[in-house]
Amino acid sequence: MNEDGFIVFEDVHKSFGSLHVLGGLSFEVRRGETLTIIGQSGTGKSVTLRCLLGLLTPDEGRVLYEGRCVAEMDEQELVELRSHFGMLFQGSALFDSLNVGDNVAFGLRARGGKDEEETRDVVERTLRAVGLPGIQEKMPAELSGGMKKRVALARAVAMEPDVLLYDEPTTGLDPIMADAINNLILSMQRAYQVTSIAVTHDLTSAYKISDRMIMLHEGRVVGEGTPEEIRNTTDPMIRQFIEGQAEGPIKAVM
Amino acid sequence: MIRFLCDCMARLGAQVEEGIRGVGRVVLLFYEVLRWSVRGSPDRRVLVQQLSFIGVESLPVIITTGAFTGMVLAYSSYAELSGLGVGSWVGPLVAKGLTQQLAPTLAGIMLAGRVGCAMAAELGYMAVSEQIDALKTMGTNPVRYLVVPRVFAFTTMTPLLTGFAMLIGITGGIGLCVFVLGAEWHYMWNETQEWMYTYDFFRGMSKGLVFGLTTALICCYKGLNATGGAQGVGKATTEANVASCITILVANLFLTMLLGIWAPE
Repeated sequence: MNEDGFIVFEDVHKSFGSLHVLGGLSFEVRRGETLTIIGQSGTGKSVTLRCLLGLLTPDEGRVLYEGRCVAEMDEQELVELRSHFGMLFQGSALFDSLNVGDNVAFGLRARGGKDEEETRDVVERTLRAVGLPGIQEKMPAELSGGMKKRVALARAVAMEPDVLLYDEPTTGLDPIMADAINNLILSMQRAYQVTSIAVTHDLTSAYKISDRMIMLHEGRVVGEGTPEEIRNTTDPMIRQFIEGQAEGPIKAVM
Repeated sequence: MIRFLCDCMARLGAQVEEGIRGVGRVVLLFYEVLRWSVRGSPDRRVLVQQLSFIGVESLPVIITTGAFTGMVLAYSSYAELSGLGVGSWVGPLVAKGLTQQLAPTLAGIMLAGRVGCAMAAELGYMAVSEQIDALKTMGTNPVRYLVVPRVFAFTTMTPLLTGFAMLIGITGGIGLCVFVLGAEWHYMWNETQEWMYTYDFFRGMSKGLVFGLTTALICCYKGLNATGGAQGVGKATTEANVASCITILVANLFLTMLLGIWAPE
């Protein structure tokens, strides 16, 4: 299963009290690919990303990054691990008290190694790359939902990570803005040559940005394939999800 | 009936257990704060922002609290004491009452309400809107970046504001007696000087230091651990305020006993 040992989930279990979110999750991510994780709300997609970043610790199983187990890392190793990642959070998670420029520069300043002029150049360059040049002085509260996502994306790529994580990148956006974000994700992948993992239940987005897709149900992988294979699958569970049917093997939880 | 009593006991026991756990977690947060404080100075931008928010912007609340407490204490005791022919004792009574008990306790409670709640709500909102996770993802420890400057600012500003409340309260109390109730300024000031020691101010301000530290730690802890959206932030804020105020009242008793033992002759 493990081709190059880049990112591997091995039989990962995670519960919150009596709620079992991940129930033996196993998959791998290959270097340079864009993997999209699809599935219903509450199937553990976001928890998967948090386990990868060490923000949550699995109850059982292992999450490996380049062969190193994330759960066994100490504080310093986790900081080092996270420096390889950039994450676009579902609600953008921009720091309200900082302006756009300081938000984008935050990670660079925290990591150090760049003087203020270089940092400002990187901020300007990444904001231009996401189509929002010259808005450094604006506060997050002054931005629309789409603009916030783009600033959050600029913040994620400013540190030139090896892996970009997208948590529901198009949720809450109108279809045109959602497609603009999809295009942006594709252009970021081309420009920065990063490995990407996106979790979403927006299939239009998933088909457009993915090299490979996996479907999660009850915290386990129930299907895997290229966007074309997923689109044409005969698997009843995946068909029910992509066709958006309430009736089928997946029970709609009300 | 027995079942109902058992249920009540079980619920009470669970709450006590949760309270003890909470105390333990706040102590652990204090250890984290100390650990990060030793490693480097707090973020200057956040520190200046917090010093201004806690110190400068709290002045109107502190002035009002100190002045009116001092005036009420003076007004209510003046009638009794002047009837006994010792109206000038109001000065030391107000000064002692304010420096030893009222100024630190009331300033602490007012600051827990004004600053502590804002702190818990701000950190709580950051927690539920994934901003804390974003900080961690960018290699920044939230205790170092958010908690250390807040604890430092709260712990340094509270004793200073307490001292300010004492001065305003004593001035207000004596001023009311002299200018409204017709007391003799000279006698009142002499009595006050005779009975007041620098140690009284030190005692009150050292209480302020402890109240500032405990309030900052409790409010930061509650905020960082908020979950579940707007309702969770509201719950964290309420719990932070209640826990801070109760801690101030309980700690005040023990500090009074402790500082009484160490009082100079």
